[in-house]
Amino acid sequence: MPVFQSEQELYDVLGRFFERVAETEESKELIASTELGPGYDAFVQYIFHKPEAKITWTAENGVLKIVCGETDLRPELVFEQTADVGHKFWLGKLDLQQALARQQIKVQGPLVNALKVLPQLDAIYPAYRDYLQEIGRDDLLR
Amino acid sequence: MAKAAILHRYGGSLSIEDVDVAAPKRGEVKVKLKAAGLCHSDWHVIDGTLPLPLPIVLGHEGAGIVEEVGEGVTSVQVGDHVVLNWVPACGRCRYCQMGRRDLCEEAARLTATGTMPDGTTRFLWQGKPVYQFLTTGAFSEYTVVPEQAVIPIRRDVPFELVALIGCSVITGVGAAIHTAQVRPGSTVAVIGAGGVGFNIIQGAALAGAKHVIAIDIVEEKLAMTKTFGATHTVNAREDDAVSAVLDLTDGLGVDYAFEAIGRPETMADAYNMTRKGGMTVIVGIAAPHETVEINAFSLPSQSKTLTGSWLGQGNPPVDYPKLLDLYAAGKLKLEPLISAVYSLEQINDGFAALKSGQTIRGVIRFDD
Repeated sequence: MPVFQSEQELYDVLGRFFERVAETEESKELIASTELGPGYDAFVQYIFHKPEAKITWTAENGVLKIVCGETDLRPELVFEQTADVGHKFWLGKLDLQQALARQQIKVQGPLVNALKVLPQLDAIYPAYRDYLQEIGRDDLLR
Repeated sequence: MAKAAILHRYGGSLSIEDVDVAAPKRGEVKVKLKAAGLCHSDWHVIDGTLPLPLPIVLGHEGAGIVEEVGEGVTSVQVGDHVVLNWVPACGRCRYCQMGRRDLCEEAARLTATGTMPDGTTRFLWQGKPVYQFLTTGAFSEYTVVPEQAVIPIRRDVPFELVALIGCSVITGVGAAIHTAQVRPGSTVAVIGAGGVGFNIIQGAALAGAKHVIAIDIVEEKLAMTKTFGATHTVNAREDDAVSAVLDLTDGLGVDYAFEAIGRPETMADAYNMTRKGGMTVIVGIAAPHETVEINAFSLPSQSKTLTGSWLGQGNPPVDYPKLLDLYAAGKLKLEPLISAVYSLEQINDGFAALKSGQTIRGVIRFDD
């Protein structure tokens, strides 16, 4: 059975978590140091399947902004995966290189930009666990 | 005269017509069909994804009794029970001489032309030639085939079961035993619980696989795979198949993954759920124009073997009698593979059921 039973549940859990990430100093520093390529107005978009959902990371006034659902934003980098795989990734249970090799995650755009950020994610994985516990979703930790 | 199911145009239904079936020429055998299975390969011709010359008598998974033999035929005689062999290997081409009769160049040529080796057919409808699918044209009360296309077998097995040996059983069991050479104690995943998939499962179980993971989207069929030796099931409608298999194998992937559907996406899934250094075997048949996308970096870094399997890489004269012996010894299940038995006149109902994905194998039983 999929981790998230509906698109809304995914937004309520993963989307809200991303919003919390957006408030951190690390993400503000990241936004300040990242320049989007010409023609793009969003950093990254996550396309999820099972359930179908979409979350886009853009910036507004130098702050990371999370957009859940359909959007006209043009992301520089697109990650496509099932919601289960996305959930596992943010729990820190997935090796990105292996997941790419097995096509559990498909990428469009300059992956190298994302790889640069990978070491900083080590601090985020425990934050996702803590967040799930905080919102009473310990069931998603199993 | 014989009744035969003819495809006149792609996308249409089969029509039951009276055809003239010529007498066998030198090196040919006339067979009175007793049973014939409905296979996805037949369906691929009907829906136009495997384009062949029309009109054509489809059917290739057949069994019957030798009615008449042409001059020079030595391997069978009138009255013998036979399974049709849709890869009638010539024995002379490079591949036959290498021991790969499944890749016979002459048999591949006949598949494309829909004819006998001399370029003609033995079916006539309203005075015009009708092609014969995979040399066999088994959806007909009678057919004429090259001598290599009939394999004599024991007489004590019902024809409906015997027919299955000629395609779904050899293709599935052979893929596990001949192509992959599944080893005892290994882990196996099979995508697609249809006529071929069930036989891959029982082939892997026969070979001693420790875990056999069956993957499909129909819960009833998944439940049935357990009786053929599946140890785990994954409903791909609910769960991501690759992730589920990784979860069941401590993140490693399986030693052998088989694809028995014929879709590029599930072929990639099979590759992606194979462990490093493991083997992926593609058995399902995709349309000729389709391509599979796999990760380029994984090719060297994961060192998997990606291969295909045609006719289970089998050798029909040796394998078909052996498979029936396994059935007689209670080691190979055949009865549960048959979901429904139809008359020739009901053949379109059978294909409708096949297309719905709810059945394992439908079989035509010919009148006596």
